[in-house]
Formats: sequence, C-alpha cells, structure tokens
Amino acid sequence: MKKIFLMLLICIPLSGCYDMTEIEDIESVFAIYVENEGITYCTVTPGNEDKNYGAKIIKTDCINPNDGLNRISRENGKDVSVAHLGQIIFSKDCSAERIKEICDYVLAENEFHPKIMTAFSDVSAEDFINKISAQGNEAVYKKLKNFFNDKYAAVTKCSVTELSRATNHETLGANVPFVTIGENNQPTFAGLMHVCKDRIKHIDKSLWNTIALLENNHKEIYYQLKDTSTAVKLTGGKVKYYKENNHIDIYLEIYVSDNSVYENESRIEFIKTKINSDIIKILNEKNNGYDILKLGREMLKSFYTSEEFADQCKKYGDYMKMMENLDYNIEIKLNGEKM
Amino acid sequence: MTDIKKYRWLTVMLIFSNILFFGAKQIIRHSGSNSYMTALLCCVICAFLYYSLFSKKAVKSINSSKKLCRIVFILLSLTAFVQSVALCSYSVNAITETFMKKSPFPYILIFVALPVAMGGYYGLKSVSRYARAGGISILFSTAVILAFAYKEYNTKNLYPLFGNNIQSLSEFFYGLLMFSGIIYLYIIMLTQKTDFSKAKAEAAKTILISGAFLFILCLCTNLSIPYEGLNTLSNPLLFIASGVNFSFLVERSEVIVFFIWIFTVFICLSALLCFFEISVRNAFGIKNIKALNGAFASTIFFASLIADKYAVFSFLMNFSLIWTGCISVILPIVLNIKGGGQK
Repeated sequence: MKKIFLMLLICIPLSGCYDMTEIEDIESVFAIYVENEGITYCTVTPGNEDKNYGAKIIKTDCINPNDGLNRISRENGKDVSVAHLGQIIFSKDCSAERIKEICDYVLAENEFHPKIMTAFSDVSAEDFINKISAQGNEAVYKKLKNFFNDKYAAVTKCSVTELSRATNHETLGANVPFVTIGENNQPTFAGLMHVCKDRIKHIDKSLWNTIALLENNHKEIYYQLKDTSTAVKLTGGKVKYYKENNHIDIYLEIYVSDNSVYENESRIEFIKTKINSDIIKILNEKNNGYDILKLGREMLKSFYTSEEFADQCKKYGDYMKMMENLDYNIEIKLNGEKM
Repeated sequence: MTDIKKYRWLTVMLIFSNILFFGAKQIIRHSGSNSYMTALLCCVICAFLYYSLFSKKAVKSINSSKKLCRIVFILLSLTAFVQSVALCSYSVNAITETFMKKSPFPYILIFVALPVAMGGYYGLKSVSRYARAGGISILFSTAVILAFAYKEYNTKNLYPLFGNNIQSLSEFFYGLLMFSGIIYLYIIMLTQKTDFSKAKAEAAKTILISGAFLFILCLCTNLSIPYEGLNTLSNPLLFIASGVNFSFLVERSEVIVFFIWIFTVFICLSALLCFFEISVRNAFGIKNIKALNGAFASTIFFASLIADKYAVFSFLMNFSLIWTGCISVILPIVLNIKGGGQK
C-alpha cells in the first residue's frame, strides 16, 4: 500500500514539471483578420503587466492559419496558444471558398474554440484593431469580445461553427455582422453579409434593423426604422408554410415606442408600408439564392423526414429553385397596447 | 445475501461511459433531428430485453455445472479485459486529441492506470462507493452544463420531426450495445447469491437512470444543432459545453467535460478490474487474486500503447462494444435455456 501511495506522490509533482510552460512564455492569439492574400494575428501576452497585456498586431502572408502561428512562434521564441481566440474577422473581399477553408480548418483543430465569433470588415486589420482599442480603458481583447456581444446579439453574432455549416450546406445560410469605422473614428455595425455555400451577399444598414426585428423574436429590443424617427419591436407573429402550393404566410404584430403614432391613421399606414416594403426587399433576395430570413427552417416544420424535404426540393429542381418559386403573403398589425 | 443496490451506480457509470464516449454520437449521427425519440425507444427496448434475462434459471444452471460456470466466467473476464483495453486506449487518445495535444500519450496513461491499481487494491465495495459519489457529482455537473447552455437551444432545430427515415435498425443496435454494462450486474447476481427479482429491479432502475441521461443529452444536442450539422458531430457533450461560459469560474467550460471524462474513465477502469478479478476467481478458483492487479494494469497500459501506435483505438472500441453487447444478450439466454432444461 505504501508503495502505491509513494508512486502516486511521485507522479503528482511530476505533472507540474513535465513539458512545463510559464504563462509569460505564451503568446495568446485573441483575434485574427483573414484576407485572400494573408492572415493578420492580434496577440497578447497574458502575464504582461501592461494594461493591454502587450497587445501586438502581426501581419503575415500565410494562407493557412497554422503556418502563420508557426512563424509567430519561431520569430518570438514563444509558444502560441489559440485556446482563447475569440474573433475571426474576414475582409470584405474574401471569397466563399476562402471562408470555407478557414472555418473548416478551425473546426478540424480541436485547440480552437468552436464558438469563435465572426465578422466582416471593409477596413484594414491594423485600423480595425487600433480603432477598437482607442475606446476607453478596457483591455483590447475584452473590448473586442464585448463589441460582438451587444444587445442586438441575434444579428451581431455568428459563430465559426454556424459559418462553417453555411459554407457546407445548401439549405443553411449565415448572417454575419459587417463592421466598419464610422463617424468620429468609432467602429460601428454597418449591415451584414449573408454567407451561403458558394456565394456572399452584402445587405446594407437600411435593411439591417428590419432583419434584426424579425430575428430577435419577442425580445424587449426596439429597432430604429431607417429614414424614420420610429423605433419598433416585435411582440408576436406567425410564419406558416403550405407545402402543397409552396406558399408562405407571414403575420407580424409590431409595437411602436411612440404612443402618439396610434392616434394618427396615416402615420400607422406609413409605418406598416415601410416595414412591408423592407420585408419584400429582403424576401426578394431569395430569387438570387439568399434566404436571409431563414425561411428554410420554417419550411422544414411541414415535413416529417429529411427525405420528404429532399423530395419536395427535387419536385422544383433543387432547393434554390424551390426558394425562387416560393410565393408569400405579408400581414402586419400594429399592436396598440400601452406599455 | 448481498444488497445489489450498492452496485447500481457502478453499472450506471459503465453505461454512462459508453454513452458519453461513443453511443450518443452514433445515435445522433444516424437518426438526425429525432435522435431523442430513438434514444427513448432504445431505452424501452433495452429495459424489456434485459429485464426478461434476469431469472432464477440462470443462477440454477451456474450452480449445477462447474464446466459451464468456468466457461461463463472465462467469457466474462475476457469481456472485462477487452472493454478496459478499449476504454483505456480510446478515451486516452480522445483526451490527448481534444485537450492535451502536446502531452505525451503514456504520460496521461499513467493517471489512468493508477486508479486501476487502486481499485484493485480496495475491492469492489470501495469502488462502488466511489462510483456512487463520483457518479452523482458527474451527472450533476453534466446537468449544470446542459442547463446553462439554454441560450443555444432553438426549437426550430428539432425539425424535421422524424429526422432521417429509418432505413436500417443500426440505431437500435447501437442502443443495445450502450446498455451492455448490465452484464456486470448479472455477474454480481450470479456470484454474490443475490435474489434475482431484486437484480431485475436494479437492472430496470439502472437503465432508467442512464436512459434518462441519454434522452436528455440527445434532446439538448438536437436543440442546439440543425439536422444538417449533425453528421460531423464528434462529441455531443463537448460541443454543448463549448457554448457555456462560466466566466466567474472558467472561461472555457470544456475543462469541466475533461474532468467528467477522466473521472468516468477512473471509475470504469477500477470497476472493470474488480469484475475481471471476480470472473477469474470464479473461473479458475484462484484465491490470491490481488497478485493479478499489477499484471492487469500493465497489460492494458501496453495494449493501449500498441493500439495508439497502430491507430486502432476506434476499431478496438467498436469491437469491445459489439463483443460486450453480444455477450450481455447471448449469455443470459444460454443460461436460461440450460437452467430451463434441468429438473
């Protein structure tokens, strides 16, 4: 018995020494910026006493993320860790193949977190990180993390797993936030990128709030309608698909923040028309193969098995053709209840 | 007469390890968005199957023929050995791949082999107490992870309601294999002169606890992943945990899955060694069985090393599950037939 305990005692201290790496010797990557021609890495050294933990921006011309990591490790003489990588930002010019390549690589490597947030941007990697780090006193990696976790999370969040599924399956698209540097050098959300298997579509800010309104079902968040002074939120609604005639009914109950609107008939009509026309604009993108409102998920409710759904798609040619032939009807009701 | 209740958690943990490492993934991949229904159906089938196999006839046939008794226990010792080698190599490889890429395989293996030796030293009763305490904590931690991942759940992912068309019986086959840990409850019934009716009730309770876990795990996975993404799933609990952030405690809650994983291996390997000992003692009548502990631990250690070198851990896991599954069904049936023929 004593011998076994002795063996255990010897093994326990050994676990701390074998293959030991001090925290100061680790370069932790917290964000990467992907372009078609290379990858930029944003790193911090966890043990660093500096407020920003010695945040660095390292630009490489490597196509594969692992090659870049090896190069950083070689040049700095430190181990590089991606265990806390939180964001992958894609350049606006990235092709769908490039996005697929990066997502598949990240998910194949177990060290990466499968819930890494993704975004698109039209500014350079250096500008993007510098502008974000210029705000407030918080450490840069925390700012970046909080930036993607804001209250509009339904649209401003897309994990690398979701993005990978979108680039691998015809029936799944992903809405990825698009970030730019706006007035006063502040990073702001400027619409979204809808990523599909082999194509990407940029949706501008004018429709962004309407998409957010529809995606953020029944949450207490108001969205500002573009070109109006009206803030609205969704209080209820129903989407029903009829597989017999490939038709979808969309019924929405909307609440307006400004109570005086309910006393003015023409104002009510204006808001209804505005929302209606925005939804039609978004829906019509389905003819180009972009299911931005994810109606495909609603359609699945009418099918009992995946084979039955596949058969329905075959009836129209393929999934995209079925979406193209999808007929719709929109009904909007302004909910007049006082808060 | 031994109270078989004491060994409930031991069997639950053996089934839990099958579900966690292998079974849940297989059912989810095959069934698609209705894997929770398939899991429920598997539990019901297994409950009926194993419930009907516990009988007085089996005990009678073991007691009547020494030759038959020896064959049965040799088969059971082989089962325990095959399962421990498979579990050891598969889980250590998975842990190395998922969590500790830079750590060498044999080094982690020492931490798995040591509890085996400890389990062998203290015996089945101590291991069953350890399994009860560890099992409850492990299931509680799993429940916490599944509960805190509620933000990831979306009912839209449950469609199509009946998932993939059932074209083969493979899902039910995997379901049957997962619950094969019941065979160890059978060993206890045969060797410790337990009342078969109590053993029957225990088998039902064991399947109920582990079946509930399987059902909840499948349901949570279906809620968090659309059916298109289920084909590439490698470990359901690990994936769900990746969406949970206990920032006040740990940034990446996969570390909790790592602890669940490693402690499950500890409990299962200790339990398998004890069952191996019991089977060998009954087969060959060896009294000083403790001397086998070192040999057993080092054999699975080196067998796992060889399995890792030739990358056959997945084959070993499949083989062990099929072997244990077949033994757990065929053996009780044969014993029942033999017992039924005797007057």
